[in-house]
Amino acid sequence: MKGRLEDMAVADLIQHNCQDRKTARVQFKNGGQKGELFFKNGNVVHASMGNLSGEDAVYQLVTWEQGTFDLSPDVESPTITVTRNWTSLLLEAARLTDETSEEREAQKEAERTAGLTRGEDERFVEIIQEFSVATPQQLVEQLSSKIEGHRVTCVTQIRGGNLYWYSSSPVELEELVEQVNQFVKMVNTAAVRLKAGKIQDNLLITETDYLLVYFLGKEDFYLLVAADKTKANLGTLRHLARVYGDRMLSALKLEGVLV
Amino acid sequence: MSDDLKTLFSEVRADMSDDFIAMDVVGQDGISIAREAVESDFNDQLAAAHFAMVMKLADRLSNNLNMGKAVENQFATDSFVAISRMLGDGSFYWLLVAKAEANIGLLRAVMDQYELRLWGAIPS
Repeated sequence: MKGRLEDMAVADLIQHNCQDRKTARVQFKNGGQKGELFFKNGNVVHASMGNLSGEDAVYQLVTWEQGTFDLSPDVESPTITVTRNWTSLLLEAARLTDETSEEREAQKEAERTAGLTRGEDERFVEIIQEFSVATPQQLVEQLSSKIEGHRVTCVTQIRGGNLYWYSSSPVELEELVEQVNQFVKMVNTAAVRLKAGKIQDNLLITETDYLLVYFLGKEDFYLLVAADKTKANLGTLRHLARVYGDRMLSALKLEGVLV
Repeated sequence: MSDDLKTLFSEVRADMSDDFIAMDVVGQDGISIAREAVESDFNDQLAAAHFAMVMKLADRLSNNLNMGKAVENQFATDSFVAISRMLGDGSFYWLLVAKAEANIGLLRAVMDQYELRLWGAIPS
């Protein structure tokens, strides 16, 4: 009897031959590979496939899903390499097949996970680069790039000295900081007299610009952002100043500017 | 307080949420010509005087930096938010103070609504 493994699986052949208590030889071909099984009175007694023989050969043959088989009845086996009964043999073959499938799936999953991990790592690195590891100057530049109509961003101190700054348009920075410092001092005075608690920010809206001072809460440091009123979004400006203000505080501590 | 300002302040007050603390129309001398406030520890007269100075300096700063006139100042602390908005030619400003958790967007919307009418109600 001849047939295709696509029509009858190796496991089915074993089952049928053993249930019928046959003595036979079945030869398999799958591409360039060859193998054979011998049955004796309803049990598998020998198997070979390439360099393999015995149970290992059975387990390999069972995995073949393509190829042909040729059954020759009443052919005696030249040797005995398999002693396990056929049911146990098929159960073990099934277990090994499942295990291999699981390993394959696990490997695929591992590859997928590895891919994801790499992706997340890259995103994590981007986040780290953008925020955590960023220097105050980098934060100033990042913040500036996110504001429509940006004019100038500056981290300074009321007592004087602009520490970090970035300007998108020509500006007399020294003059700007000096004038804003005077203004901030007056705002601070008002806050103290009014027992206003901790100042968060002060936004001055002029005919043409927004001038936002975000207080960093330590040693009179503040973040100053100026933007064109016709282009900038006030809500976004406030939000970004808050977000970057908090990160600036951490960056200044890392730089040793703030204790 | 003129009747008109009093009436307008009542209307503004009615449009405000429970976050309202105080409001004043203040001259450049820092003296309030109209006020409305809830019972609280907040000293709106002192605030009026201080923010008059803040607005004056803000206007000078804005001019010096070629940013035109100062239009509005928003001051936020962890206990309140104070919005000072110039009225008309800038000889008076409107101070509106609310709790820190107040919605600033809504406060400004109310100010947008009444700004011109308040300016028109200032005795001349």
